Amino acid sequence: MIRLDKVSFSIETSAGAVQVLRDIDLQFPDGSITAIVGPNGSGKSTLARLISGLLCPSSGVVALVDEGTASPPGRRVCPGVDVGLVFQNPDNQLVATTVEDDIAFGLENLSLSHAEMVNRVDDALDMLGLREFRAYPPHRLSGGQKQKVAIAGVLAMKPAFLVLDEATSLLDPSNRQEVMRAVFDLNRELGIGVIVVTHLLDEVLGTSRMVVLAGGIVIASGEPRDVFAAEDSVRCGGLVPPLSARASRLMQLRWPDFPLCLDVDEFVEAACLLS
Amino acid sequence: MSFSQGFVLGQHYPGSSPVHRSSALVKLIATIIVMVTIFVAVNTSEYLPVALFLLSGIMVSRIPARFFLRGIKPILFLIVLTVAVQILFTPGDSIWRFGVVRVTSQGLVLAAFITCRLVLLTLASVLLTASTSPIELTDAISDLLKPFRYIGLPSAEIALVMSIAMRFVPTILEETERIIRAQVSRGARIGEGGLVARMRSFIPILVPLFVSSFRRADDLAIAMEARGFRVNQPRTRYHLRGFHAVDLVILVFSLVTLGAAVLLRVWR
Ligand SMILES: Nc1ncnc2c1ncn2[C@@H]1O[C@H](COP(=O)(O)OP(=O)(O)OP(=O)(O)O)[C@@H](O)[C@H]1O
Ligand SMILES: [Mg+2]
Repeated sequence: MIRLDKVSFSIETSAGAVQVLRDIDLQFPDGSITAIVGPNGSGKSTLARLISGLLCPSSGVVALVDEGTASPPGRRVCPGVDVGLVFQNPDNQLVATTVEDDIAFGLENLSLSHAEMVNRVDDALDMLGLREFRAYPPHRLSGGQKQKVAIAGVLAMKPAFLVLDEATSLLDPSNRQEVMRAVFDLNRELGIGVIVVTHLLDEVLGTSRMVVLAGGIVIASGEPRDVFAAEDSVRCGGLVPPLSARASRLMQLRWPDFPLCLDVDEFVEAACLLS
Repeated sequence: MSFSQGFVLGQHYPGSSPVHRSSALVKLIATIIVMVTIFVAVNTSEYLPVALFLLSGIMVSRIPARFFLRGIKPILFLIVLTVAVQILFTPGDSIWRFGVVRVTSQGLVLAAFITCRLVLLTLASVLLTASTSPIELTDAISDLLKPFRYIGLPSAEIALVMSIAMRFVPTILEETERIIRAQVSRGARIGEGGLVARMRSFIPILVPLFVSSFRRADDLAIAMEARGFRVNQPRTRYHLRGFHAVDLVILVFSLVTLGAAVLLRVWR
């Protein structure tokens, strides 16, 4: 489990120190799926980098702790090994001239033996369905395929967590779905913890917990249903609730005990019960 | 894409021939030996062993001759120019004259010599880069530079920088085209007018290109760190191959080529 205790982060700029994140307390259990949402500049990417061990907090602790123990003598998060980070533009994340070499890049950094690297590259290619592209140069892949290569490269290092920082925002809807499906499959099959930073509702609704960030603090966290039920956090977090949730609210004006529905199926079911 | 197409020198032509499968380091060393042979030669006859060596390499590689011809095309102009200069301005016994134009036998010999030199140099480098993937080549260069590590040369980092550069060439070319299109659609005139106007018209292309390249570099640094990369940290290699019989054959043949060229010189 990744644990953040009273984590603050500020940057020195010419105009003085800017506090980007303040007093963040969060826990990410092993194998969980969490969405992090919030308006532009709310500190999501900074949080993602802190979680991945790429930044050190100005104060507070980011640590990996055993789920059983109550108080943490945790250890530092090691980038790549414990947490793999994938971000927005796939073009800027691929390092090597072919798909398989790119996947091997992180493994080379781990100083693994050759046989082990070959095994892991093969596994990663298979998991994301990239086998036929193994010798392709990155520029001959589609955006979705490139992003899958980026995920495969991170995955080959066998991290306990995968952090996706708006990793699908440059992709078209079908590529986006395909990538997210691959990620959710990895969570189900390998038990990898997933943290998605996103602006997209369908990605939020696929998760079991969401954290709303605004102005560098956590203003709400919990199940998506509960978060969308609290109107303040929805407004402050600049969230646009799903259409079905907004329709549910309108229904509640007439029928006060109409449930808050997050998708169309639920809504239709609730509406049928009325009549 | 239009920039990069049709340029064969440096292009990889994947295959599974013995030439492709042999060690990149050995191929690099053999190419260097052959190039030294080409440069120290003073007579066209000394090129005979080199030509034989390269031709057999080309045959064994099963890379189509067409690919090599395309490699020679860009230097055709250079060949024609030097041949013309040699033929016209070499003093000696004239065999044909027309007004002030005078062709000498020495000129013809020299022209043939230089043509052979340029063609053989091109063939050697095309054969190397066509039969070796960029990543193998950079690894080989890094291996070759390894002894210089003791005087502080970061050979592994140099190889990494080269492979990243190769990775980003197509991306940056695409980006350049996109920027050109964007600027043209806003009414920019690129490559028109006098020299100064033309130079100035590149500013609206170069500035966004630099800005985006710096952003890329920033992202890339984070991505590399996120995958456990640290400067000065030992790394293992994904591509691994030992020394095989083919490698020995290539090495021996390249040395024989050098020896034969030297013998031809001595005998005359
Ligand atoms: N290197 C930096 N220098 C100055 N300010 C920075 C730097 N990095 C981040 N910030 C500031 O920190 C704040 C949070 O940035 P961050 O990138 O984490 O936001 P974000 O939530 O990811 O935004 P977006 O949705 O646009 O990706 C912003 O106000 C930004 O201006
Ligand atoms: Mg961000």
